[in-house]
Amino acid sequence: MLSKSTLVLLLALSCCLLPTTAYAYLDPGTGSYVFQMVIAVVLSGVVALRHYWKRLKVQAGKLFSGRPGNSDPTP
Amino acid sequence: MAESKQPGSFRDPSGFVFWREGTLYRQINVGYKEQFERLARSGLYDKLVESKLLVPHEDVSLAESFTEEAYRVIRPTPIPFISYPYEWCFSQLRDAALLTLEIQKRALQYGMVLKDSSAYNIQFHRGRPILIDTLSFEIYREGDPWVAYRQFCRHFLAPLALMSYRDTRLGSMARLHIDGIPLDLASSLLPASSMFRISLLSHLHLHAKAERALSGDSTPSRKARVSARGLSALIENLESAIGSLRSKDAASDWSDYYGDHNYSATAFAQKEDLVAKFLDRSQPRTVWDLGANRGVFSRISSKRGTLTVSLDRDHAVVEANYLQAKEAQDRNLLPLVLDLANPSPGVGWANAERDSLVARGPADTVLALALLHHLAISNNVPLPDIARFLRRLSGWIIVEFVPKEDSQVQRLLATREDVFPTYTRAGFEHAFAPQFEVIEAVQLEGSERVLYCMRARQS
Repeated sequence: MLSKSTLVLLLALSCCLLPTTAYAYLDPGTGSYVFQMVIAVVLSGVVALRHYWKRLKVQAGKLFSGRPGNSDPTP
Repeated sequence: MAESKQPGSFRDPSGFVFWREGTLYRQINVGYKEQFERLARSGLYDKLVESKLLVPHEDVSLAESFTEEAYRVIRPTPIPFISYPYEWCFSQLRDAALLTLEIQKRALQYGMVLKDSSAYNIQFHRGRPILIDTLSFEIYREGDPWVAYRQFCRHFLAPLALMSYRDTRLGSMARLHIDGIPLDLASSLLPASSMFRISLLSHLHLHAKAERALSGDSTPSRKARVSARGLSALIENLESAIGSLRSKDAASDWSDYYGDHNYSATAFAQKEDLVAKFLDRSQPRTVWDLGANRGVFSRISSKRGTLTVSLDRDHAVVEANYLQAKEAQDRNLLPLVLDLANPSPGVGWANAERDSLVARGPADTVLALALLHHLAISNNVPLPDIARFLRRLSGWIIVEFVPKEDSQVQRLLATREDVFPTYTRAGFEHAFAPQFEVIEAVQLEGSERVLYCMRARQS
């Protein structure tokens, strides 16, 4: 059994999680909202990965072209 | 004063659309004041109207309001012919979907977001899709998930995937499900191969499963947060998913129709001239071309600047017609998928949310070229019934009678008994006489076919 103050805190927090757009009259569906949260995280991860992969390719491209002497890793 | 609320406009508490003395108005309710002002002040409205993505409107006096809740009244640009997603070909639905996502992206740039993504918010106007619901915008709050995501998947992604992976005829399923195709239904109808496309696997199949799994659950702690970046990635992914789908249309029996007809070049040219001449007679502002196929004759009308609705039951030819019209930037042609033997009925709440075909008439002139034999023989519709139906659709008809001796009709009779003793030129004229008077009749050169220009009798 949760203490009264914890309960109040939880209730307050859950209200923060409630989008309260007054005129969003559609029912988005609980399952759909949860799924959207998951898929959005996955997709933004994919986007971020793609972005860093591109940057990596650009850096690698710079390393291995134009300045042959400096690219030699052996001291 | 003759005034009434638009029957389909009742779900959104922000406002609604109503008619007064034949003019369309939109009432914006007090509760939507903040959003509407943001729409204007942020520059989003101007940007969308300038890009022709949203219908422009004029401000009108508050005295014109329909109810007391009004904050503003506007007069939006009316759409001369309303069409519905279940009448659109694949590419029309696809263009409407991409438009919705484009508007959503732009809205986000201006701190707003679409609060619904219904396909019924899009109409085709002057040859391109456009958003007609000015009140669709809500103020964006970072962290809020997109409330219209599920609706987008049901209204757009599901039917497009079905038309791409299974059969283009599934587009008309939207007529049975007025808020879009349920995701579990779409998921069960799609082939397993659709799961190899990650976007469809996610937004349709897994989405459906998640809906099912959490259907009984409504505890607030389950409500989710979606970052702005996440929302952006979601929209981009939906866009690429839609963009990568292709219509399943194989060549249908009808796609090669004009290669496979029996007109001589002279007769065809003569028919085109006659149609043009008869259109001059009736001087229509709107024309419906019934059984239009790819719209060869519809274009005679649209080229004159007349709004021409080009109807055919075969998806492949409507698709070809639309793509051609889009390419040519034809501002006056609207191809739609519609079976005259079973035209769109009134659907939705009280059978009145979405209008039947007849309710969207009458047209000023109807073209019924090389059509009658399909209705009379393939569909067994008696000629007098066809006449009565056409009379409901229009005051002027340009109709072609194709007799039994013609090879096209012979083909229809090839595998069945000829139970049509009254299907003759005399029988046709007799059947149409109570409804129409013949203004002119011309037999096509080198053919038994006769082209008529008829005007409805004033009853």
